[in-house]
Amino acid sequence: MNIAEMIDEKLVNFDFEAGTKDDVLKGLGKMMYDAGKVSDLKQYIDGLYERETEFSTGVGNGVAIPHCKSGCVREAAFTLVKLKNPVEWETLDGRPVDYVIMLAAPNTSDNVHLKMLSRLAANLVDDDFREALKSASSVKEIKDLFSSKKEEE
Amino acid sequence: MYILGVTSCPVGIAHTYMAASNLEKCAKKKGLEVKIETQGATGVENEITKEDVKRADAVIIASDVRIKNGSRFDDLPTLTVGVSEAIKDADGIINELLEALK
Repeated sequence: MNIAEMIDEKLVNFDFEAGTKDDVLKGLGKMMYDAGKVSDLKQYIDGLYERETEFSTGVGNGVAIPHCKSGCVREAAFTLVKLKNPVEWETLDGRPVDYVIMLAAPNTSDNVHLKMLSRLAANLVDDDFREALKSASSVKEIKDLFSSKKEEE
Repeated sequence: MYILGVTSCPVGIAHTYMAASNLEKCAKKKGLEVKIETQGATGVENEITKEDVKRADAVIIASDVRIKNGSRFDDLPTLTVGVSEAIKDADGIINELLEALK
C-alpha cells in the first residue's frame, strides 16, 4: 500500500474557485460526498467545523488540512486541491491558504489507510515535497512524486 | 545528545504526525540523536522504551491532550508545548530546550 494508490482523481482539482474558508470546507466536503467517501454530508461538514473550532488546520506555507474522523466516512480519503485564489484562514504562520488537503477518516480500526493519511501529513513538513506537490499540475505528476517519496524512506 | 519526544492531538491523524516529523527533522539538522513517539488514532508508534529513557538527556512533549504513560519521563528534564507549536517552530522549541539544559 502506498499513498499514490489512494489518490482518487475525483478529489483532485488544480483550480478550485472559493472566496472564503467556508466555501472551501463546504465545497470540498461536497466533493468527498459526491465521490462516495462520505455517507452523510451534513454530519461530515459538522465534523469538519467542530475540528476547526478546536484548533487551526492552517499548518503554514499556504497549506490547510481540515479533517474529520467520523462514522459517516465510508473510507479513508484525501483531497488535493489547489485554490484559484488564496483564502483567509487561521494559520500558524499568518499566511492565507492556497492548497487544501482535506482528510476523511472512518471510525474503524482500518489502520493501514489511517497510517497513509498520517504519512501524507508528515510528508508536508518536507519543504521540497510540499512545494513539489503544490506546483504539480497533473495527477500523474502527483503520483510520481508520492512514489519517489516512498522510495526514499 | 539524545532527545526524546512525544506528540499527540485530539483526532490523531494529522497534527500528531506533522509535529513528530518536524521535530525529528529539526533535531537531526542540529546533529542531535532523536526519537519521537506518536500517540495517534492508530495507537502508539515508535514507542519510547525504558532503555531510551535511561539514555536520554531530555524530552519534549508536544500535545494538546494528556499523553499516555507520561510518568515514564518523571526523571528527565521536560519541555511541554502545544502540538501546533511543534509544527510551526520545532527549531525554536529545540533551541529553548538546549538553552535550558546548559
